[in-house]
Amino acid sequence: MSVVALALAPTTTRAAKNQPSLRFLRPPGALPEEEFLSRCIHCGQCGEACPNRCIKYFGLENGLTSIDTPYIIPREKACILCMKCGDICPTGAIQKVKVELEDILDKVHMGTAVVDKQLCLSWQGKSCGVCYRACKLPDVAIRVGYMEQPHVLENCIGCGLCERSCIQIPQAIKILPRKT
Amino acid sequence: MTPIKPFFLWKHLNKLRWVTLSVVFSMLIFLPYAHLYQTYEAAHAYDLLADSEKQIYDTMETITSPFINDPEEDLDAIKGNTWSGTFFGLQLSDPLAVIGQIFSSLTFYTPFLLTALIPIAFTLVFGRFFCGWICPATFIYELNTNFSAWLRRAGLKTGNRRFDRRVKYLVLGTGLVLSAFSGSVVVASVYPPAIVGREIYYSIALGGFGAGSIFFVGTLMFDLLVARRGFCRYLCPGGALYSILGRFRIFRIQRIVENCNDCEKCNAICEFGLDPLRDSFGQECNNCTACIAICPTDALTFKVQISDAPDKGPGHLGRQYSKNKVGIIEAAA
Amino acid sequence: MNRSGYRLQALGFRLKQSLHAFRFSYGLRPAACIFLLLLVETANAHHVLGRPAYSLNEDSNTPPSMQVETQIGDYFVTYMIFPAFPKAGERGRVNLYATRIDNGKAYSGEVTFKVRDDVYFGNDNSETLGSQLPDDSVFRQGFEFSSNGEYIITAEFTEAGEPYIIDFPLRIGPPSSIGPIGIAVGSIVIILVGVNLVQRKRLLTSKIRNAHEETP
Repeated sequence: MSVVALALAPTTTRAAKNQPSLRFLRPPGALPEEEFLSRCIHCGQCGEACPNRCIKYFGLENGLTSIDTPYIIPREKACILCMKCGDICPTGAIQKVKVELEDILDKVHMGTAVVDKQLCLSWQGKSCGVCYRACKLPDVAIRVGYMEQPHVLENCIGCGLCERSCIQIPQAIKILPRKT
Repeated sequence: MTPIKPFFLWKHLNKLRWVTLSVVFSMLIFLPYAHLYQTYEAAHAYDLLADSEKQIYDTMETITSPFINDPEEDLDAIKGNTWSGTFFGLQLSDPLAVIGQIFSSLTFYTPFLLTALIPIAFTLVFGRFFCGWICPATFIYELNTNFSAWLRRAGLKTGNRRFDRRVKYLVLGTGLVLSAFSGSVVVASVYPPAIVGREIYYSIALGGFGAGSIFFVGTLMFDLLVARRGFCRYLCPGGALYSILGRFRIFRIQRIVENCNDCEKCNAICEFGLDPLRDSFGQECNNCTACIAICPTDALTFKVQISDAPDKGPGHLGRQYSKNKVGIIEAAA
Repeated sequence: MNRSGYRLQALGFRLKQSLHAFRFSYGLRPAACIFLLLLVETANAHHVLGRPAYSLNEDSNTPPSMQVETQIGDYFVTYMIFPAFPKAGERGRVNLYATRIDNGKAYSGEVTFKVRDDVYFGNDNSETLGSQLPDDSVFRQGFEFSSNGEYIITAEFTEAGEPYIIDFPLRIGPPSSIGPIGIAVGSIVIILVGVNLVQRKRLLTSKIRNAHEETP
């Protein structure tokens, strides 16, 4: 028996919500998925406010209900936590978040980073530490130990800067989007 | 009897309308470029930009530098599109966005409701003015109408069917019910101004048109092949909402029966297929003033009144028109 | 909008995390603050990835790669092309990484890579690129294409007697300028013209027929 999977390029990947083949994040401060979809009016202002242009918009690949809704693919461009998208969102689908540690930890839940120790250079004995240095919340979201081996802490909000920065191909640290 | 002259400015409002339409449309093209410029600026890496990106950066710098100091912050003043936008801290949204969101989330989120207050107030006074004066899709649709007239002159037949105008209220209702069931504002996907605003942004800043552009091209083809301005007349959910809101609008166009010569140019020019010649504007009129501009005898003017005048009969300058709509065309032919 | 206040907040935020990270003694705080104001700014300017990522090109800090993630059988497969936009005549690399879904263990056997033209009909010119053993648990296959075009790379391996065959698309060179939207618009225009021609012809025949009926 042969198993054949035909995967399309990321731009046209067809898959259901939160499938591993379509791993995406909502912008920082976004409400839980269902509430987010019911609030979002697909106006596109969050993307237009993003100074990093990391917010992109769905076509039909994630189903009809999320057409023209914002998403982030962290490996391509990660969120830099400037929170401008929440400031400009007229509907509250993305909450306003102050650029302060407490408020960010309170409201931003994009996902959690997961380290693959089989791939990670530091865990393979080649001290690296790039993910730790890319993190905007060092020692809050991620900690490094012996040989700069990364440990993700429970405060990780899943902005994806570590995944973006990982020098291993494929990346050894990945954001798992939150499940709701 | 002294002829009644309408206020001279009304005749020129149509030009002003094209100016506002062009300004809105060019803003929708400008803003994505402004955003690109902001992102290049934020990156602090001019040297790493590709040549085409450097070109955009230089052009935008030339355009904006007289007005702003810090592009990263100052260009944030204007964002968004006609569906929902931010102007110097003031957020404005399309009433359809607000209604759609109420239905999809089944809650009232007050800060967002307030953003539609100004548009709704204007609509109550001026009727469906958005459709004629602001809507970026109108800009393309009216050009499309001209294109179709041009095609007709070249000998190609374009569509000119008529349907029931009430279909669009059905579309609005269905869209809202679907929004409630799907839990997502689906009316946004079938509303041309929202689509145009988004697609321009996608094509400039994100490197390609999205799915909505196919829908929009479809509506253009519908207008060209099936019914003149058909989508706005018969299908647009936003147009339906604006029509309802503008039913008792205060500013109305009215016919001065003493000046009218029954030439029927107003009926021919009317994009929404209304019947100014028989004093029937109804809630659909978008005060676009095209009929005022084309009237050769100054027989149309603005009045402050909350309902249309009853049919005043044939114009005093002209020949009798028949009650049968086709009559006058046959007589003229 | 109070953007000036915003900026200060942002700086305060950086300061806070820096303090947290470096554990400056509290007595030194004012001095440390001033010092950090300078330090943090420069540190950020040279920071590898804390700053915005500009464009997806080979000059950005982490050269990006095109990525596809998929599940097949017992395995979760990540496949990457480096660089993100490979060109003809330039060396590139396919990276394949397969982990078991149940225990996360990486596949450690041998993977064979093949390539063929991505065509709907006709000869698809299959060719074997090579077989690879894992290097840091990743199977890396180099390639260099002589001409631009659309290709399909097939990765094959056998595990527990079951063959795994995974197809991935690979585009060499710039994407075709028309694209699906262009095709849609083009076909609509063709339909428009076609319909018009047909209508015109029908109009003409009916006119002739009418003329015939009227003459006798």
